[in-house]
Amino acid sequence: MAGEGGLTELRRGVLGPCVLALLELRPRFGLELVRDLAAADGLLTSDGTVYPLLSRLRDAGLVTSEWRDDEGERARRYYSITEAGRQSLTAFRADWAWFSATVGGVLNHAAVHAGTEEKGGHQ
Amino acid sequence: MSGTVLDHWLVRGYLRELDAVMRGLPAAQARELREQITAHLDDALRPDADDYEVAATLSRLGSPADLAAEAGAASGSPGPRSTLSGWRLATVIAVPMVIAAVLGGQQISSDARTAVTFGRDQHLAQLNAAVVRLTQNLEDERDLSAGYVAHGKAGPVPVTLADARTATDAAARAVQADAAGVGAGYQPGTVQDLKSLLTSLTDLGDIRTAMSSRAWPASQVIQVYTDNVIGPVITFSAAVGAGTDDTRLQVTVTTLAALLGVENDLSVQRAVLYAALSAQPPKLLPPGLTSLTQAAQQQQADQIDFNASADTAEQQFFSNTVSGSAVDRASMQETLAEAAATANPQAPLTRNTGLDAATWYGDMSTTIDDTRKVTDQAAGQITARANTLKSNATRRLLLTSIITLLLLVLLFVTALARPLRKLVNQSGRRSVILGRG
Repeated sequence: MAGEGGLTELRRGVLGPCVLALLELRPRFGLELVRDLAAADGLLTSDGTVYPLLSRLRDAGLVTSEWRDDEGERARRYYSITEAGRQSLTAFRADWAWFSATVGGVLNHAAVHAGTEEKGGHQ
Repeated sequence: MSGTVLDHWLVRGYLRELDAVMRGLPAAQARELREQITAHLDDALRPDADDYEVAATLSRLGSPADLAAEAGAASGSPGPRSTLSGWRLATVIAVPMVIAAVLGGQQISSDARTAVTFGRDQHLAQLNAAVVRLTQNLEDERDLSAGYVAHGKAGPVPVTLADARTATDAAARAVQADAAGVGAGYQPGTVQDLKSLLTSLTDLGDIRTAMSSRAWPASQVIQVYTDNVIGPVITFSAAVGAGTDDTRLQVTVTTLAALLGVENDLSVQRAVLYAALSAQPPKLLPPGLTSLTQAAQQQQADQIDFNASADTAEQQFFSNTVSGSAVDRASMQETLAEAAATANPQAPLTRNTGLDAATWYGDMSTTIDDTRKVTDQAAGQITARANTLKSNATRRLLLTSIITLLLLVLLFVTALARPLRKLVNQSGRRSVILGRG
């Protein structure tokens, strides 16, 4: 249960940047976004959570939305990334690289350390 | 073409639930989320999607509560979880509890009033039992006093009369003790009658003194005892049932009042003839004869009252109990005395009649004692009934209080259970819509 909760928190933190990354390529409508995110295994706990997130990103000025009435299609709300969104995404990419490296290093080091302690005790 | 998946029964249920859980969100935010979700479903499902497809899509979407919670957390608004802290908390918890408390309180207060009323009835029934005993002692004292006075007050007060006075005093003290506390809350008429009774008891000493010091004839002794003391005592006993709501208790009180009347009528007959036979020489003068026949007529009237209010078993008990050779002999002696006095009031009553004061007193006392057995049974029934009513009322009061308390606790717990269940749902569990197919 603790692991599940931790994963949920992690997902919550990275989902926003992932949405921004998808929108960086091209504008998308809701279901499109959901399907692309769902394709990345384990990223979504439930499809619906994307929508409050989109509203949040829009309120933060990272995303805009507009109705598009393409021929032969129904009217859909399309989301696109803003300039602020791009900057935020760039910043996150840098942070993530550093963060994942640091966390990975600590986790690996801890595992190695724990292994030596088991074998030889204190030095 | 009305074909849209939004009309699917599962979708409608889902959206209804979503609307419900979004009630705590700002309107614009709720509107937006609803629009996003309906667009999602419209895109994700064909209009003719089957139940399984719809259920699977809805399940992937997540529970409405999760969505609303997510939206609430995003906007920093209180969110659906904490809507229960506002006016909804009041409707969910407080209103039912207040209603239960008010209704329960009303029932408790009504039951408490009933218990108090029956408590008063119980008190009066206990007092009444003492009053019945007092009546009997007063009758004995009156009748013996009449004989003593008629005999010319020769010598000291006879032992029988002295004993009767002692018994009366003891019974009067018991009544006075039981009368304590009868006042506010009781029927005003009953309180008034009790006051008259207690006042009349204080006259008793004066009556005894006057009887010895003044030249009262026996007839006056009988009248003073009857009118000044025994009358108020019997009146009170009849008033005991006035305030009660219980019909059975009321009827028994009426029966008892009739019986006390019969008993007193018999006793007056005993007094009049005992005084006549104790006189020197024994004579039943016209005023005495009138008193005797009046008392006998009154006895018939009271007997009719008794039959009207008593049930068959009680009437049977009366006729079985007040019977036997002594009762027959007393009746015969009275008829004989009346005939002799009518023929010649001046002739000594004992001549050629075989009548004699002691025999008459003894036989008539047996008749009266038999009647008292019936009277005592009625008084006992009143006490028992009043006790039952009181304990029933008390038990009911206790039960109502416990039920109300349990109801309040239950309401409180169920009211808390809903928000708790919501919290559990929101912290990870999904609503399993698939389970409904």
